[in-house]
Amino acid sequence: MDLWSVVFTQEFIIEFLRATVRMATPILIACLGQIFTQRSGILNLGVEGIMMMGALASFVGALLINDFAGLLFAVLVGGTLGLFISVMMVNFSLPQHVVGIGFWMFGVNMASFLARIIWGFKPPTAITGLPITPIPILDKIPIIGEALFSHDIFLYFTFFVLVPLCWLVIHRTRWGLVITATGENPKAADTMGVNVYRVRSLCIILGGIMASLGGAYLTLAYVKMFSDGMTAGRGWIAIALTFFSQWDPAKALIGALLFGASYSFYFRAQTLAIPIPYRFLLMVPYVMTIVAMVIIYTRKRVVAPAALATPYRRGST
Amino acid sequence: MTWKLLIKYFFIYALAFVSAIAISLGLVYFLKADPIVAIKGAVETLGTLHGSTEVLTRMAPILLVGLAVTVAFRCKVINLGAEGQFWMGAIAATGLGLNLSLNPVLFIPLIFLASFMAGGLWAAIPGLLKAKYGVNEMVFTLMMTFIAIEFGTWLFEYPWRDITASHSQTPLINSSAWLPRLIPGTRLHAGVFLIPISILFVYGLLWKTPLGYNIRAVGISAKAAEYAGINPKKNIVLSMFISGGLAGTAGMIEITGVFRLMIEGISLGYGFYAITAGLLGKLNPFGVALAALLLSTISVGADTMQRTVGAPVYLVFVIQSLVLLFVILAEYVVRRSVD
Repeated sequence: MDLWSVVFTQEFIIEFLRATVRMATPILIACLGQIFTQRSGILNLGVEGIMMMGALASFVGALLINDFAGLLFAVLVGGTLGLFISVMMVNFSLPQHVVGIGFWMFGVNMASFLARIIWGFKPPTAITGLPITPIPILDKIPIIGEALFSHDIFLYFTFFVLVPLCWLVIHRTRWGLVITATGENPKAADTMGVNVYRVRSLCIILGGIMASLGGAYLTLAYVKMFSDGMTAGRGWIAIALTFFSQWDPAKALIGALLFGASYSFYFRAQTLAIPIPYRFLLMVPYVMTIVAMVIIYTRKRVVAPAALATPYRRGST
Repeated sequence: MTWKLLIKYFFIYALAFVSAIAISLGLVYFLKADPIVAIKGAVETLGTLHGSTEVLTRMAPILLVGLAVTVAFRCKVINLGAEGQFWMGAIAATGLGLNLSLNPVLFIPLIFLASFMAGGLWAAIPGLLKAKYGVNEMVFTLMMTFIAIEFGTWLFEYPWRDITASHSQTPLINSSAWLPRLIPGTRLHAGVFLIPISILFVYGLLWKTPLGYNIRAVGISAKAAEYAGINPKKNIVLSMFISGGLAGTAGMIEITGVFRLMIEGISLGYGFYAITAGLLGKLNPFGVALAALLLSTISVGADTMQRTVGAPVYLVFVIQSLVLLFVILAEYVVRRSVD
């Protein structure tokens, strides 16, 4: 089959764009949380694990009560894990990469293990998931309407509320400044009366909640079921995206769409048997992040939080 | 350090391990399986010839990746990409093993060298960018890991795939590339001789050579080292190269000694083990060796436990992650008692 004749059909383009935004959403939610966490000077490598636990929690909630309860469960689980992580990273000032890797391993495997305890080998598939709610008028635009404006509310909320909100908080409020200062120079922030410990703890918990919600999006809106390893590295992609976006929500939106597009193309190519080595498409986000990192760090003014991954202890240098 | 303190530390760490294992046994209980049967099965297997050789077989790669992070961490480069470097080593070994056949006396050292180079160069890239521009090596090495795994998976799914096999894997590598098995009927292979060799190599390198001295000096303070005329950049790249090389060697012995082909799951999560081993061994080669022995015992024990009671395989990794988290908490308790 000729590659180009397949790619340039209307159905392909619509499906490709639709899948792109849907793929982008969970990564974007988790990444927005990590932007806060990393700006406060914390590198939390446990995102993948939290996401997986969030996916499980939301599925349990949706099965027992309804989708909203699913979201609530995810928030609770993400917040709790965030709290544990913050105690270990901030209060105990333990090495962040060790704690993060530990929670990654714990979350991913614990979620699947718990699923086995609850349901045995086959989890039920009986959730309806978030319904598609087209935006009136906008969804009538040819191609774009179907591709971008007929999704679930969770997706709209992420793109149209969360992204601008996070951008405003970071760039236009005192809180944003305090968080950035904490990650840039915790000692100076402390001297100015900022409670470094509290800011960092809250940012980790927020990041945990958002990562968990990213996982919840996967179960509630995307696959509508729970399966082992369903996050499939999206937590790591979210961390990559945080670096790629240079800790800016607006750039994270663009990056999420690019990463989403590479995933979306991966699945399209697989179903249409387009002769492209799929595995290389899966590498795209990582390669893009590496390139972006090199560009970020080789510039004169490095935008990375200066105290990233450095524990802060009052009174020590 | 007084004996009293040492005993205290021992108890703190022992408590950490006991807690991790106790929680895991609690999880087994929730599976409606008998924890006693599980732990009995694990202990009994460890006593058998099969179990004890398996511990040694698994200790070798854990030790190598643990030593890998030790060399890098000693230079204050946090190499989280041991898994990727392991894969690059495995890829080099498989590539040579599939396409070449020489006299084993020549061939095995050649594969060893190639795997060391593959892992080393893969790690040297983030090392170089860290040295030159200060690029965050933790995230960089992780990205490199995912790329290496996708690449390796592509290789055994497409160009190197054994088309007669029902699922994706390469054919067996040429037998001239096989590390000989030491005891028939077990998986214990000649790669375990790397256990003493690698410990002495890393100890000698770090404490008995000028290069090791420089690496450690840069790790303690790059600025001070530079004043003393040591080039921090060069040493960061070199330490990463050696670190990646050691991890690559781990990949090589798993391919030529254990699997003899490339397939999904050649790594049991060695990138993760590396961090636990380095942490537990206090970045000291002999300590890392003890830690590797302990971790591989737990790993084999958890495997049997999981199989005896028919628990999902995730139990093994839950136990491992709990061990890591409790050990790091023990670290905190120890530090508090020193302050």
